[in-house]
Amino acid sequence: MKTHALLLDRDLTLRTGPLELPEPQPGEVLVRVEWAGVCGSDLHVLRTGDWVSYWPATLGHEVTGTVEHCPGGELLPGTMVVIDSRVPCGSCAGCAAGPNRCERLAWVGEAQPGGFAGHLVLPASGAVACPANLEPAVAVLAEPLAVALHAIGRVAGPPERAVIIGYGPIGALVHLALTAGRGPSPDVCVIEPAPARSELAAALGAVVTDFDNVAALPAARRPQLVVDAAGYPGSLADAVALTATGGTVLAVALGHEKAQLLPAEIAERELTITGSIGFAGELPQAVAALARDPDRYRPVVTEAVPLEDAPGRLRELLAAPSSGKVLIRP
Amino acid sequence: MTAATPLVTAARARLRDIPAYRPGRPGPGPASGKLSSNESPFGPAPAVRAAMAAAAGAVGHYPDEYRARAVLAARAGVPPSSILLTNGSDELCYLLASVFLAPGRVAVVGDPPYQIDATASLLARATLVRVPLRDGAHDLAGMAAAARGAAVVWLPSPHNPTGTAVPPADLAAFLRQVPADCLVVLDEAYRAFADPAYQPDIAALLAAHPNLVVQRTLSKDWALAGLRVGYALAAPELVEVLARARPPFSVNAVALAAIEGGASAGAWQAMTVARVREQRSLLANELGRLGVDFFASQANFIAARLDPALIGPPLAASGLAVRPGADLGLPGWVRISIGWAPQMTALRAVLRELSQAGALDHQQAEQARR
Repeated sequence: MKTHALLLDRDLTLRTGPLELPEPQPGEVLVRVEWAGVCGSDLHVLRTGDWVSYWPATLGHEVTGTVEHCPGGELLPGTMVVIDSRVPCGSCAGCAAGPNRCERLAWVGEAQPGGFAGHLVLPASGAVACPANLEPAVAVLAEPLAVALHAIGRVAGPPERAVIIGYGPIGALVHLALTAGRGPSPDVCVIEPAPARSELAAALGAVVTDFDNVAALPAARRPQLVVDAAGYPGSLADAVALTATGGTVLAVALGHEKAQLLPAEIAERELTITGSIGFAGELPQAVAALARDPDRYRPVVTEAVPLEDAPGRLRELLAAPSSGKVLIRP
Repeated sequence: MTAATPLVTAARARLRDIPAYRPGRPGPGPASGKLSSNESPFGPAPAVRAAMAAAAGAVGHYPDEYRARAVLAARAGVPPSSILLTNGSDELCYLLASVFLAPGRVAVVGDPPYQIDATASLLARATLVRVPLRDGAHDLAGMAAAARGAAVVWLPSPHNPTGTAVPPADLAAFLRQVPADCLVVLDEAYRAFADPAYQPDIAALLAAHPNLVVQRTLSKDWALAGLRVGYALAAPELVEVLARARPPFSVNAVALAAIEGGASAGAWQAMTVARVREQRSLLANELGRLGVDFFASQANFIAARLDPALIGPPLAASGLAVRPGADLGLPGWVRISIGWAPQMTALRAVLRELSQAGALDHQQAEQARR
């Protein structure tokens, strides 16, 4: 079948046009896309073409939609779903520990046509049914929220004081995951220089601060957890510098510059550096959290763009990041 | 259906000029598709939610307004004695009408008015003088003329249902023209969404005009529509008079806690207002591009000349509902509340599709023919 899609050519030209999709086979599902979120990794691909294994590519791995056809009957037509964005190889030693540890982990959109399209086809096991009362434009946050929940789950216990460096959508969702059930907390601070993003952080109850302010804190007031959700050159070193002795640095940003760290500092201050990629079993948990309290997460979505306007808007985003999550509507 | 008793028949006769209030209807889908009641798409601030949750355990006691009045007074730059809390700003309409209107007294409204202003006036058996709007805006000269000999002038700015706002200089001039024995009720329910140039200095106006009452609500930018909280800003003498007529404890303890929590919710409210203004601008641009008549709005809605019967079904198919203008005195129009970005994008897509199908051209030709 044909669907209308956003197409990225090998020369990184972006356009809309028809996309031929395979007919879903038993074990697969055809989903009509309602909304697809733009991830920072999508922008990286638009800039570089990295990670793509077919051309022209249709990106988009944060997807909510409605089941149109499921030959094997695993899901009923009309069911609203979010999709599991991971495409593990299924045969490596990493996969034995969990899909997100796959040694050749790929993602929907990069390995197969994704959600910046009217429809997509994927394994039925990769679609998570949503409660009927969860609105699609909130449900689309399930994938990045699962990423945030997984990251927080990698750290032992909720910290008394935390700092989040970077308040893009993942930083914001890590903040909301950290403070779930606690209400606004003066002990979660955010370092974010972009005004629109720092305003969102303040609106969502964080204390907006800067590196120097945190660095000037006495040892007893230093954060036990510093989350690097920024990924700028030096962000990991900044996170290490700000963390309390015995504390944890949580790396969720995909920085592409080598980090300059002093091993002695990590040893002498007994710091833990924890990485986190994707999610393990947190997608249903994320769906449940969004259904429980959609208003808590709604402000993270700041913009919604029709598919036909997406090529122009995505090009703008490459130059000037958005203040929050941008959604695309096919 | 059984026949009405004489009691009900008499009551109906007495209320024959008073239309029943019809609330905005929800869309067929999620709550955020309800673009018919000018509600906030984001709900209350985290600090307000936390304060309300904490207050739930204290509802065994009568509410104490002291701190809540102080919060609102500090925001407005007036003393707490200038604040009267009410159970939604509509309670204030009824309160003002019961105190200042009576049979034979005159109340002035724009036409179409904010419906509750007209209803409260008519319930008080006052004579209602309607001054037609001009291009959706108040005819201040006409209203000032009508105010001579009147007891009350109702002046919503931004106005509901059109969204137009009175420029502060024009408001100051208007207040100078209204006789001192005529009360001016400036309803600022939508003030927060107006551009700063349309936000008058209320403290200064109150100091200069003892016959001014400013009406505010926490239903809009505070997103507390379901809690029912409003308030008056007025000279302390006026507040004292109104307080005598108000039922005691008409604002509940949870609502008061929400106000107190709002003291630290400025960033949330600023975000809400900024997003509404952004989406309002996008909708206005789209309506202009499609050649649809609309009033330049300073509120969290836009009234547009669109046939509800034409746009209702495709909007419903996208999970959206808007308010038919006929409910609000604007037949042939709709009032579109400004919602969350995804809903507004869906709404603009519906308008584009109708335009591409030629339906909007047909509607405009039909309106011109009439």
